[in-house]
Parts: sequence; structure tokens; C-alpha cells
Amino acid sequence: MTALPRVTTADQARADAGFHRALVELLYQAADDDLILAQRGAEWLGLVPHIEEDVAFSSITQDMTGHALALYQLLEELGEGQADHLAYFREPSAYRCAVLAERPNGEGTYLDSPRFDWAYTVVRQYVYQRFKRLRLEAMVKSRYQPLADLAEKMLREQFYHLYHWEVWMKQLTGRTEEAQRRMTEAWTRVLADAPSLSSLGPGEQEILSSGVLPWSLEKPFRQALEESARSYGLPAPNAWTMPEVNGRDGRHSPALPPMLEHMAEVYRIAPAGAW
Amino acid sequence: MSEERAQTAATTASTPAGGAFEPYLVFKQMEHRGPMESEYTVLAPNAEMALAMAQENFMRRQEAPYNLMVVRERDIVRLPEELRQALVRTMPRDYRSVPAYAHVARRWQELKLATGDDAPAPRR
Amino acid sequence: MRSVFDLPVEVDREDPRYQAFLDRIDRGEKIEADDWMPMDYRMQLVKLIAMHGISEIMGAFPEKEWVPRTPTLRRKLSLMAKVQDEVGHGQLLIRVAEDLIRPLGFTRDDLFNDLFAGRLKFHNVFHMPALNFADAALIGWLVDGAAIVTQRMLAQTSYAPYARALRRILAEERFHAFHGEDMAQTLAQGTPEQKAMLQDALNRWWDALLMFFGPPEHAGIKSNQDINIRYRIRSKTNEELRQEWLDKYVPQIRALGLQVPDETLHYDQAQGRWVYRHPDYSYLKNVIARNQGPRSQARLALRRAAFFDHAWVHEALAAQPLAAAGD
Repeated sequence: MTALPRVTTADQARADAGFHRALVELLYQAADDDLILAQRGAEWLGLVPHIEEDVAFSSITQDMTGHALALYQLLEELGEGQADHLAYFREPSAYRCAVLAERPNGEGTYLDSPRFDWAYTVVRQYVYQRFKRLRLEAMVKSRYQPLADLAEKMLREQFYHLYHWEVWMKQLTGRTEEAQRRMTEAWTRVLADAPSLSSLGPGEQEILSSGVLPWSLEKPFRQALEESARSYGLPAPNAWTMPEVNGRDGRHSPALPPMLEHMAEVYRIAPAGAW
Repeated sequence: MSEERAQTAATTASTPAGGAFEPYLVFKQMEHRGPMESEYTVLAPNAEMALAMAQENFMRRQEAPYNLMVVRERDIVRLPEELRQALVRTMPRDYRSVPAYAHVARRWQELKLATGDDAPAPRR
Repeated sequence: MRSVFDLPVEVDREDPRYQAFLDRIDRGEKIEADDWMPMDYRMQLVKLIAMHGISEIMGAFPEKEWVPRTPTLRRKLSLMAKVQDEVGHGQLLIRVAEDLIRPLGFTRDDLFNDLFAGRLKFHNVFHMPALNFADAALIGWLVDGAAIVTQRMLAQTSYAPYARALRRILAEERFHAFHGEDMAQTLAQGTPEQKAMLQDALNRWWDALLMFFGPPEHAGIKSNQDINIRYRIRSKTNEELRQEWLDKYVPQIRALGLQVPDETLHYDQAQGRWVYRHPDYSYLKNVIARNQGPRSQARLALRRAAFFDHAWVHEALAAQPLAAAGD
């Protein structure tokens, strides 16, 4: 971490092609993760196992949507196009979200016979927020000052998100046999996708060497998951194998294209119009 | 973790076996439908005794509250200091505030809301 | 399955506490949860407040159907916040109802079972489909507008915990009203297609909106209004509330260049009231109250899924830790 100067404005960033490319890549990853997982969260509205939790979960979903918006606005300043356009109107292959974020909540859809899996939702949210904490802590040290400033704000607000899911992890593990079985199963499924989160995609080298991120997230993330496994009595993550598609290179699971199609159903009626 | 810590703290502050005196928080409500305000605390063997002593310990002058309430202190769970960061709000939530919609009233004005020959007189 | 609504409602009018209670009501005093109250007052409150609370919860669905498709991120945030508030208002109200039935040995779960069994109703508007995004706008604008008119009246209620919940709800719904109007204005001033969506929604929702307030008093359909007014649970009639709503919203509808689907609608200056074509109120009794509306069963199925599929979550939360695992 020596002497690379801070980049304080979008214009400066755009003047350095390599830096700009790496920065845009990372911003899409982070924005798309929040956008897509918040979309999964929005599908839960009104269907959560307890009314009070329905309300609390929705605040987290709103915050994540707000974080996505703030990140798309950074991309807008960097010349990528209007924020809503970025959220709603790209080809699926242009999205950089990790495959973990796009997995369905369970069987059925929120409109018809939802058979949503609360254990999977708790574990996925927990693991994502655990990862997001690490990514935000790294972003605070980014060479790109506007990102570092934003990450600082997001980090303070994200405290509640992780804490909230920590409580759920604690409350649903080690209680009943059924809950233990469901949580273990969910944990195993989430762990299989976890490497997709800390992957920085094909541009990883550039993201790190340009100082857009000061360090790789994989090692601290694996450590955090090992600690989690211990504290909640869940199987340790042993193999760290990248899932067949991880999302960071634009290749996604079959769940993403219909999800985006649905999300943009109304937007397409009057793109760039007022709603 | 915090919960456990609070529990431990309560247990250590707890009472000799048999003589179960514990602190109770006293709340007074000055008027019907008014807020319950925290007063001081009493040491009492149970809620009934706490109630019976509370008034003359803290309101023995002219004041006559509408009602009193006592709560055993160890039944109160507070957010511990290390978790109070959860209360911080840093990103804007203006989308759920009234001032963010000031343009709505302006647009109604522009649209000449009260036109039409059969508009009612305002009523209350 | 046992239900709080099956309990006998007996009131001993010779009981001295009964007269004292009526005197309190007449003096305009407010009743608290732990005050003595006659059984018919308690049950009337349970019916009203549980229905109100359940309607907020069921009422989240028609708008929520459009949250994942809301076409800008800002609007998505505000619509999500608004739907979240509905669930939150349901929470406040259900809690008030729970406190009324707890002394009778009943809980929140019993209320949900009453909903599933068709013993506890939810408002007619939430049995209707939300076919396009403009329906979400219309709900925020006109359905919420109707709810605000009713709630403003109910906030004067003699039951203090309900009045307190309503005060908070009304404060939060100030944002809902502006938000709904904002959506309606934006669509009406948007592309021809956007405006047509809103007109289409208005056409489909008009009768349900009028029915929201219930049949007018002279129509002879049995209602609980007399007892409600004696106990000062409510202070205005269905028709008075409907007129207030028309006062506010007909001018807005016209200002947006939309057509009310009732060519007879006009304001009669001599009578000082709106004259309009009444919808067929028997629909409330014959279709809605039997949960046979267009979306009644589908939305109940969503609520059932939330309730029954997650029984394991409630069991786990209620259970003691299996061992010292994890500590």
C-alpha cells in the first residue's frame, strides 16, 4: 500500500483507463449483489413467518436497495448511464452479482404458491452480510475517495443488518431437531455458493493492483465462515470450490434472466419515463 | 452474547436465598393517557410491595399521579453498548417523509384542483 | 377449532359497574385495556380492531405484488416503505386486539385461525385483483384516502389503546397519502399509455371504493353501528364518511383529467351532498363476506403459507436450547 495517489473525482478516474475499468467492475459487483438480493427480500414482503419480523426484514431490504442505488449513482458519475437504466435495463450477461444472490427463495413464486425457505433466507442473508462487512471495510480503504466515503456510511448502517441475522442464526440453531436439520441443509447449500461472493471476477488482478480494493477478500471471508461454523454448531467449510457459474464474469444461473425480466416488466412500458 | 451478559449481571446483583429483595423501577403516569415516566427505584420483595411503597417514596408531596407502574429491573433488557451502533442511520430515508413530497401539493395547485361548477364548499 | 367469536356476549345491565361505565363514556372518558368493560363493548372492539388489523396485513398483498416490478429504484424504496408500514400498522392493531382477547384465553394464532376459517373478515378492497402497476398507485391514492377518512373518525374512539394506535397510524399515513397522490399525478401526466392504465384502474376499482364505507344506513342491511355509536367507538355514519371522501377525491380525480365511471355523479348544492349511483352493496354480504371475491382465496392462501409452512420456526423460537452447543 504505498504511494499510489488517491483518486478524488469521477473525472480523474475516467482519465486512467485501467483504474476506471477496475473500479466500474467492482461497483457493478457490489451494486448488483445488493439489488438482486434485495429483490429476493422484496419477494418475502407479507410472507415472513412472524409479523414483527416482516417489518424488520423489510427495512434491511430497503437499506440494501438504497445501497444499490447509491452505488449505481457512482457508476452514473463514471459515465455508465442513468442509475435506473443500469438497474433495470442491462442484458443478464452485464450483471455482475454473485450467483448466491440470485438463487430463488424456495419453490413457487411470491405471486403463486410460494413455498419459501426461511432457513435458507436466514443463512444466505447472514453469510452475505458477513461478506459485505468485509467488502465495505476494504472499500473504506479504496483509492477512489467517493467510494471510500460512501462505504464508510454504508458500513455504519450495515451494522444492524449483520447483527439482525446473527440473532436469527443463534435462535434457529441448537433448538429443535427439525430446525437444526433445516439450518444445516441451508448452510451447506449457501457454503457451496459462498466462493462466488469473494470472487472479484476476471478483473481481480486489476482491481487489487490499481488499489480500487486494497486487499483480496477471500482469505478473511473463509476465516469468518470457519468461525461462524464453530459458533453455530454447523459443519466447517472444507472445500473452497468455485461454483460452476459464479456470476462475476456475467455467466449466471437460470434463475437470473426471468428475475430481471419480471423486475423490468413495468419499466419497459416507458423506459426512462417518470413513474 | 449481550443477553447472557445482562443475565449474569442480574444474577450477581440478585438476592440472598430466601430474602428475595430486588430492585424495581417505578413509573408514574401523571394523567390519564399520559406517558409513563420513569421515577426512581425501590428495593422490594415483590411487585405488590413495590407498588405499595412507591408512591410515598417518590410522590409524597402534593402531586397525585393518575397511575403507577413497577417493573422488576432484571426483567428489562437493554441494548448493550457494543450493539448500540445498530441504532445509527446514515443513508437517507427521505422517501418515507412528508417533506419529500412537497411537490405534490404544488402540482395540485397547478392543476387547479377546485375547478368544476359542482365543487363542494369545504366542510369539517 | 375454538374461536373468540363463539363466546356468549352477555351483559348484566343491572351490574352497578355497567352504569358507571356508561357514565364514563358519556363524560367522554377513554377506556383503558385493564379497565372494567361490558362484554358487548369488548367484543365489538375485538371485531372492529381485529378486522382492521387483519385488513392491513391482507392489504399489503395487492400493492406488494407490484413492489418487485416497481420501475424506478426511488419509487421501489417508497412503495416498499409504504407496504412495510401497512404490515406495521397491522402489527400495532393486532397487538391491541390481542390484549382484548387475552383475558378471555385467546391469542394472535386464534385470530389467524379465525381468518382462515372465514370467521374474521378483511376489507372488501383487498379481495380485488391489482392487475397493473397503476392499481398500486390507485390503492395508495384512493384506497388509502378512504382508510384515512375512516381512521380519522375512529381516532376519537372511546377505547384508548385503539386511539393511540390510530394516532400513530394517521401520522405515518400522511406520507402514504402524498405518496399515492404523487404516483397518480405522475401516471396521469405521463405517456398516454400510463394515463390509460390509471383510468382503467379507476374504472375497475370505483364500486369497491364506494363499498369500502359500507352500505348507507337506510339500506336496511344489518350493521353494528348503533352499538358502536352508543359506546362512542365511532362517531360518524358510513354515508357521512363516504361523502367526506368524495369531497376530497372527486376534485382530484377531475383535476387529473380522469373520468369517474358514473355519469350521474354530481354535487347537489341544495342538499349539500354528492349524489351518485350506489353500487350493489349485497356484494359485500354475498361475495366478500364469504371470501368468494376475485382474489379472496388466493390471498388467504398466501397468508396460510406464511402461517403454516413456518410452524417449525415458531417451534424453534419457543424451544429451549438443545444443549450448550454454540455457547
